[in-house]
Amino acid sequence: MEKNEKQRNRSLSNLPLDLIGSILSRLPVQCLLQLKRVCRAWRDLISNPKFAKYHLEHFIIQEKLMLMERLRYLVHYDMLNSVVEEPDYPVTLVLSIESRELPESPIEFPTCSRKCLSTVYGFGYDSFADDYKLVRVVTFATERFETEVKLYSLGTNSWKRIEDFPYGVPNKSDGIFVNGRSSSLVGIFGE
Amino acid sequence: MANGENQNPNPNPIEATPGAAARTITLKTADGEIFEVEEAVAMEFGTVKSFFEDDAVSATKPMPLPNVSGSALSRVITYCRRSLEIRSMIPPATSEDATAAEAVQGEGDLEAEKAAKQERKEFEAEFLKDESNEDVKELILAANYLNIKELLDFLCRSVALRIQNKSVEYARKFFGIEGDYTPEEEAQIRQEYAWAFEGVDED
Repeated sequence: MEKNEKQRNRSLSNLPLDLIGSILSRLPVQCLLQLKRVCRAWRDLISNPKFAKYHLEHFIIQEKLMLMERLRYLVHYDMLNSVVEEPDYPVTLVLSIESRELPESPIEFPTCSRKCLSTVYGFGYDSFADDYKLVRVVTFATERFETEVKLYSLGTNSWKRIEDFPYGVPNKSDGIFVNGRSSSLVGIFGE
Repeated sequence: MANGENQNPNPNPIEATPGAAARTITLKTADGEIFEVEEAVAMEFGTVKSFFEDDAVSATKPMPLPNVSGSALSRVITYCRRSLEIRSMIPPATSEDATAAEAVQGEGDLEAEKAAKQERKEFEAEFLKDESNEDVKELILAANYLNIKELLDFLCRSVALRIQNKSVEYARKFFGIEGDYTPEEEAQIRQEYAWAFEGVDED
C-alpha cells in the first residue's frame, strides 16, 4: 500500500503518535486547531475526546488555571471537535487564579420574584482579547424565563453585566455555543 | 536526625569524585558504546532501575540499550547528572515533628529552592540551545525508552515551544510528516477555523 511505503520512507527518528500527543497536549487550543491541518492522523488525534481530556488536564494545569466548580468541560472540547455535544464524563476543574477566589458578583436583575431557577457557567478562552472569560447565566422563574448574564474577565478580575439571553437556559442544558462579537467563544453547560 | 525515607542500604554520593568508590553501572548502547555511569544517575532511568531491582541480575554485566545511540545516551547522562546536582541543592524535607530549630532552617530551604529553580532554568535553556530538531527528537525517543519522566517532560515542553507559533508546514517538516489531505479537505478545515488562523507566522 502506498501509505506503508510512505511510512517506511520517513526518517528513523520520527515520533510515534503517543509522544506527539504528549507534545501537543502542551499547546494552546488555537495551535491545535491549526495543527489539525498537518495530516489526517493528527486531525484524528486532536479530535479524539480522550486527547481533549488529556489536554485539559495538562495544558490548563500548566497555565495554573483550573475551575473550582463541578462543570462539564465543554468549551475546549467543543473547539477541538466543532460539534456541540455533551461529553459523557463530568470533569472537575479547579479555578484558582493566583490563589484568589473570584470576586463576588451579586445578582442585579430587578425582578420581584427573584427566584432563580438555575445558574449555569460557561468558561472559555477569548482569543481576540487573549483572555479567559467566565460567563454566568442566572435564569429566573418569571413568565418568560428571563436571565441575567454576567461576564468575568481574568485579565481585569472583574465582572460585568452583558446582554441577557433572550430565552432561559434550562437546568441541564447541553452545551450551547455562543459566538458573540466581543467574546469569540464561550460554551455554556450546566452543573 | 535520621532521614526515615532512605531505605537504600548503599547510599551513594551524588557526585562521583575521581577515585571515589561509587558504584557504577555499565550500559551498552545500540552502536556498541560502553558507558560507566554512577549508580545514582543510572537509577534515574526507570528502565535501568527496574532492570537492576531484580536481585537475580548481576550489576557487573553491561546492560544493553538497543534503542539508544551513544550520542543520545551521552546527552541523557549529562542531563540526569546535572538534574541530580540541582536537586541536591535542596535539603531533604524535614519530618513532621520538626523541632523549632529545624523549622527555622526551613527558611533557608526556601532560598535553596529558589536558587535551585533558577539553576534549573538556566541549565535547561542551555541544554537544548544548539540541538537540531533531529537531535531533539532522538532525545525524546531515548528519554521515552529509558523512562526518564523529568527529561521527557522537559523535552516535550521545549518542542511545544518550538512549534507553537509556527506554520503547519513547519510542524510537518519538524516531525517528518507528509500531508495527506486532498486540497478540498484542506480548504474545508481552513475555513472551519478561519478565526484561529489569524496572527500566525507563515514560517
